[in-house]
Amino acid sequence: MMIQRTSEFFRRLAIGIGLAGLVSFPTLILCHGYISVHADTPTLSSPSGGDCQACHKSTMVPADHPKTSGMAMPDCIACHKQETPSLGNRMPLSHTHLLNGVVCRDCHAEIDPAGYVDKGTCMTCHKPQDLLIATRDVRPANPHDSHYGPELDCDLCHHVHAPSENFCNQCHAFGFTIPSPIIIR
Amino acid sequence: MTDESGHGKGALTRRGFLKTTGGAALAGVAAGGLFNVPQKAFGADMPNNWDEQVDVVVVGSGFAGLAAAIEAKQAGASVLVLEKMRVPGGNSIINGGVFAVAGSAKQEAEGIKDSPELLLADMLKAGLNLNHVQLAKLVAEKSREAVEWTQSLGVEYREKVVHLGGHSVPRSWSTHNSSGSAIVQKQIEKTKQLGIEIRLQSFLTAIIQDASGRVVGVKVREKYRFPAQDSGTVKHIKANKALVLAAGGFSADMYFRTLQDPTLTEKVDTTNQPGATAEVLLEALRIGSTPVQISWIQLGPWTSPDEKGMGVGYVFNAMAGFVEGVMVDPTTGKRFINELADRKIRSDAIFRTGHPSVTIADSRGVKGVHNLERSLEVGVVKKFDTIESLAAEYKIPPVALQETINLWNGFVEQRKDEQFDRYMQKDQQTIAVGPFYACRCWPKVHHTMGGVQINDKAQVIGLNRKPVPGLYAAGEVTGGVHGAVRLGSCAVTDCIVFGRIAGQHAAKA
Repeated sequence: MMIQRTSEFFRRLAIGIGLAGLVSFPTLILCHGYISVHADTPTLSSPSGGDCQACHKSTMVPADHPKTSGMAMPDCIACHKQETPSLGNRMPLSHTHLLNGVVCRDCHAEIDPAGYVDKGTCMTCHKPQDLLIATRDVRPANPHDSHYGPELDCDLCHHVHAPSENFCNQCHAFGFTIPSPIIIR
Repeated sequence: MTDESGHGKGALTRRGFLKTTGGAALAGVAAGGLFNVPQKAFGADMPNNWDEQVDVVVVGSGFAGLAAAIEAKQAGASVLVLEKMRVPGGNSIINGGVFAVAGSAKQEAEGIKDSPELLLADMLKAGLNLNHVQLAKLVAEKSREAVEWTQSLGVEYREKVVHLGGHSVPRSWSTHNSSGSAIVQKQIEKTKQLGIEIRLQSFLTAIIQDASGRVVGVKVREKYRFPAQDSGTVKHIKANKALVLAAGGFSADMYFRTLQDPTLTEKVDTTNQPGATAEVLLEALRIGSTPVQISWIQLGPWTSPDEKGMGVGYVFNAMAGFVEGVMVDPTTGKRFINELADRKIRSDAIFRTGHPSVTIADSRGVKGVHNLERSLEVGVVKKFDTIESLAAEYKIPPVALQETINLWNGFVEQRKDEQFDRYMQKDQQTIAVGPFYACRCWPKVHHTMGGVQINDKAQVIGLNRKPVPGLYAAGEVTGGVHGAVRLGSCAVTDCIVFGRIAGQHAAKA
């Protein structure tokens, strides 16, 4: 579905490339020169830093917010700790990855269409044994130490370009939330 | 099938496939019943080119499928396991982890006399003698060998056997984590050691036969995303020796289960994972496998309405409430059924009261409930200092409840349940020492006893009464072993016994 939309985007892009003024520059020039995201999804402007305002205008970032262009994730976290509005459950994983210097190509071998990513790709950075420890106190059950074992597909819960979901809850009714992502529109 | 480009946008959808090739067959089902289905010409689905070939293709990655895969590989065959879901293990990996074993050292250590003959008699009694005796007998006879096979894979079991409803004696082994995942995880480990691939998100859409009717391969959708029927890409995989169907039951298939038992509407929950649907069974029937007792669908009596699905409270009910305690109707405060009767008798009895029942055990009775803390945390099991406070919580008449408990305690002391003749455990204790624990029960759809007919070699039998060449099946997708009602813990035994048999014979097919 998303993939088809990407193709449609390319078709429209080919026709309308000369009319680039219709679409703001940052939404066309994307991560590392690849136009890989969906026409209606706001995107970050560069892999090295997030120019939030370029996509989100003033609806997402307060007018008096420091200029974010050039900032990376550590810069965001410097202010957005627990006390101030937390970014943890607000920023999509696509954003947090990019702000941490992980660009589209790092996960998607093919950009068009950018298919689903295998868990092995996630595990090059995120080690199952570390996750198991990180969530050992989550109640009523450690989601990374379930009857399915430690090597489930990450994308069952953690979606990078869509709202995450609690896979356990297809059978259980666990109260914990997946730390991430509502898509910011 | 004319256009079989196989990949990408040109591939026909399942719906399209049915329209073009099976529409007449479906019309036959509607108009004249299964036995009048006009058979498709053999070889009609044969692709021009196979994308891949392997000796044995196994469909399903639960107990039976993995047992078949391991045996087939060890017998020298190359094996591929197909699993339609994004996780392995089907219902097996979320199952309660109890394994019926007739005549084990664990029983001998506790002075319990048992035999395969007694297990078979129990299976036939619960099954209302609808069981195919030859198959049930094999399960009983091979139960000990089957559990020992899982031990050889490294599966660990608790020291004591447990007593489940409908069994004459305590005989069921319980995995160390009270979950079938303890077995499946070790089976998966073994498949890794043996180099067997378990390919997730691979959905069988057609069983392919050659001109003689021999099963020679499968058509699948890879990178399939349940339940989107059109997702993924079409691929044809040749099975040089055999195809083993171990695709499980259909308790979560709302359409097909309601067709078989119209009372099991969406208002009745299921313990099963969402992928417990009927597609593979239907495909096996489409090619002419014989259906056996498909409308016998079992509800589990130990589930709770206070949580989703299988949940966690069943452990308290099965291990404590029904064995160490009592179950009462909250409007009367009285027992109403033998808490160790078979699943159907208990579920029907609970339904007859018209509302959830309440099971009760004391602090001594909950010792075998390994997940008590989690069950309390989730809130499905509740803890009380006194019987009065327990009665108040569930609106049970307190005097009547205390009388029921006094009556039961008297039975325990005289070691005879004069009301329902429930089996007395060797170390049966009264309900007397607080704190007291309770859980509500309301049955959920749990197991589909019917399926395709198999013989003692796990060969699928066709409508011509002969084995379908190259086709084997094991586990819940088959019918006959359990008859009308499956006894608790006999599914694991059935799956391991017939999964292994299917794998052994498939490798030589």
